[in-house]
Amino acid sequence: MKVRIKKLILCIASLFCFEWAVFAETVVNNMLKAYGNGNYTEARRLAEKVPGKPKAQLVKALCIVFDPVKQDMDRGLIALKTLYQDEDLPIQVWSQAALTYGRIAQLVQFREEFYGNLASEINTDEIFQKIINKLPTSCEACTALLFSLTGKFHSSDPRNINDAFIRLENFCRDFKGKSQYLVPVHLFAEQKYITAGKDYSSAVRHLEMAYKAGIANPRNAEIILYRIGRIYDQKLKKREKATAYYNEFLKKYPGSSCVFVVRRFLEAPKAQTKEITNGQKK
Amino acid sequence: MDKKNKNSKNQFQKFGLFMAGFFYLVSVIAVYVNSSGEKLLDPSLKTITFAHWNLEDGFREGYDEAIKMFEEYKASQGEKVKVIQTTVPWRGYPQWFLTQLIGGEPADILKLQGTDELYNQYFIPLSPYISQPNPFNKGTPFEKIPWKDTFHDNMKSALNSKYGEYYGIGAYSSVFRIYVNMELLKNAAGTDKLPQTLSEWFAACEKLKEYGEKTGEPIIPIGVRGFDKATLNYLFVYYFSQMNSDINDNISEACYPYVTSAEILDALKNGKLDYEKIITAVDIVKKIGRYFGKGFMATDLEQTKFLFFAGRVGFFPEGTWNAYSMVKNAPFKVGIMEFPTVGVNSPYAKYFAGRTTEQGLGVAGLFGIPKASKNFDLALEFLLFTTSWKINQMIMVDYCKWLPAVKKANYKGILKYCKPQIGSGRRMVEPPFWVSSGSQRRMLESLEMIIIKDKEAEKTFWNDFINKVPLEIEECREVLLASQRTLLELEKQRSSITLDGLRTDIHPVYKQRLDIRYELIQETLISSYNNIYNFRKLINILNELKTKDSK
Repeated sequence: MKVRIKKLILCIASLFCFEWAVFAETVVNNMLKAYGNGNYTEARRLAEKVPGKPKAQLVKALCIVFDPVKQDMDRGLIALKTLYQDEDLPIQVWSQAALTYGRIAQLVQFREEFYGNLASEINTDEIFQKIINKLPTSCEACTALLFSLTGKFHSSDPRNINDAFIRLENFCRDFKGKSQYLVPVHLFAEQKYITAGKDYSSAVRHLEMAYKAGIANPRNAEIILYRIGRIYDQKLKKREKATAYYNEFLKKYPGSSCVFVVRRFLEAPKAQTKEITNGQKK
Repeated sequence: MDKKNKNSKNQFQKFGLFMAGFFYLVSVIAVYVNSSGEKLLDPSLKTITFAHWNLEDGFREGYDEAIKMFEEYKASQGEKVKVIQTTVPWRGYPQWFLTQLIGGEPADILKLQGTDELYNQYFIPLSPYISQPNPFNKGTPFEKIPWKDTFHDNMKSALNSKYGEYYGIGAYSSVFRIYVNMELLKNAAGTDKLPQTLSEWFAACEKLKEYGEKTGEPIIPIGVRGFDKATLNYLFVYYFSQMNSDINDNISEACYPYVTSAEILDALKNGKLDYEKIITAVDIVKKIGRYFGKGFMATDLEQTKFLFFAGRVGFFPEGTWNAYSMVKNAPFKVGIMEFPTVGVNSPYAKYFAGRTTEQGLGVAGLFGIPKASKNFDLALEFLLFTTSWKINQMIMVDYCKWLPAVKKANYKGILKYCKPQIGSGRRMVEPPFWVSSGSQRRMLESLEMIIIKDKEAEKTFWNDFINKVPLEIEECREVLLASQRTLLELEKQRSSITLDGLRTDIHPVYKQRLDIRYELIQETLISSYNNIYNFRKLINILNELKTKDSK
């Protein structure tokens, strides 16, 4: 009899646990959906229902930082720091907490005149490096590298900038994840190679890699293809390569406002050079 | 007698009260029936409301016809549908639009206006639908083509980079043209040949002026929208581009197909560009301005249109959205011409870079569906219907004579003159003299004063620009601050997308969309860095300019 009662209790308990797990999962899914839609009030309310769930803790911390109505950077950074320091969290949750923690701290540091020394003690580079080490082939690693490099280039110290270029190249060389994840890194790299180093050869190499991996924004894709051709033509004087890219541009974007510009470049390069110097001092 | 009078008075009052009550009831019912699309009379009827601000000739009529066809189509499917078209004049539209959204019961389809944040908060993302073929394109060249690829800009203009989403579907495009009173031109100049070059245009204006003096009629050779400075702005940007579009080819540091203000001013500072070349457009606009009406600063669009229809205006530069109303309402023949070019014998010829191209222009007039709409499916179907190849052309080409949004459109009638031109294969250049609307207004005011007071054009304009550099630097700083806020907003978006993707009940197709949005947001982040770099550079250059360089 006792055994039967025990079995019954066990059965009821496991049923209850199962029901609770289903309920909790539904709540967590709805909470994430609400957060994704920017409905912070609902996301926070649902997070309160399952306070022990790591995703709920993450949502609560993120709401403190991002909810425009109840934004509190100070408290938000503390909450994110707690999650960042909890190494037992599921990696998906930890990586998001760490990324946002590092990024928000960095943005707060960039606006010292507004936030004061709120995040001055936080070593953002260390946070980003930890993400890269833990998830070396992930999209998060690329984002972490991007944020980390932003900090390096923000500094006026040329050593930091040199170091940033080396890290960037090493990362791109060793990255084993999907090539698409690297697109923003390549775009960032080409920008910096031009603005900080006037190194068009490296810039176009990164542009080509980004273009091959696939650009999501159709406006960017069009402009990037144009720029690759133009850099080869104007800056690197590699006419053959430029011609190939110009032709690809004409084929891919026949309705673009740059079509006739590209045709001009293709058809009469010498005459063109003469024409464009009209009114411009040589 | 008194009692009888009192009784009849009472009865009269009762009757009056009854009538007031009756008419109140009738008006309540009428308003309800009207706003619910007669649903009260027929509960099976589905009603959607479609709202915009376009009161131009033909626009509402075109949509009325499309609505009629859509209702018939739905009826043939066994569904009773009513579409109500609501128009609100532009001046009141922004407030009305916001009130609709905040009120929680907006129209089912609204013409978009306002900020990206507003779209993200109140409108349904349409990206899940744009990659599917438009079912209303059956039997057309676009039968199996994704909806977005049926638009002549492939919906590039509709993409909201900040949120990586499509919140609206475009309906039309537009360019600028000059509308000409052909009768007046013939009487004054003895020819109906439209001027092709600036000197021919000036000569025609002189003839119009002389004709006015001779006949004693107050003739305005060139009518403008002066009150909102729209014509002046367009003329300046257009002629600035004719003079300077070649710098797009080789000034850009990172080889973009366009140049930034910082790059133009930097090239000017370093002696790579001639000061005269940059400033010549001011003199051109001043010369054009000699033929504006006195008091042009106070005339708005409607007044100038009235003057044009009254036969007092020779040339009227305006957008193609007004082409049909100009042609239809004028009691004389109206010619449509492109903006004249700088001729070979012109004093400006040495700087002439070429006509700018109108190819590749974006699709405007975005219509979105608010999240609060109770009839999303029907609203989406209506958008699909009105942007299908045949219907979009019917509304735009047959009715309002606007440039349609769809590819392979048949430009006929007056649209032949409004069709986007190739020009000399040059792209427009944004003048470097303003940062945002504040500095733009100041520089256009400077242009106005140059025209009105007949001041020495280039020197006055340049000195005004130099004197206002501190204000411009202030504007740049505001833009930089806004960019910093954008970085925070982008991180918010990144975390929203990622967390949405952590759901266990997520559909693979939805996950794919989230991945694309993630990529878009990251690309926008890089563009924001570029923007910040450009504005920092501009501040440095402006700082150097403000201390010297007055002419």
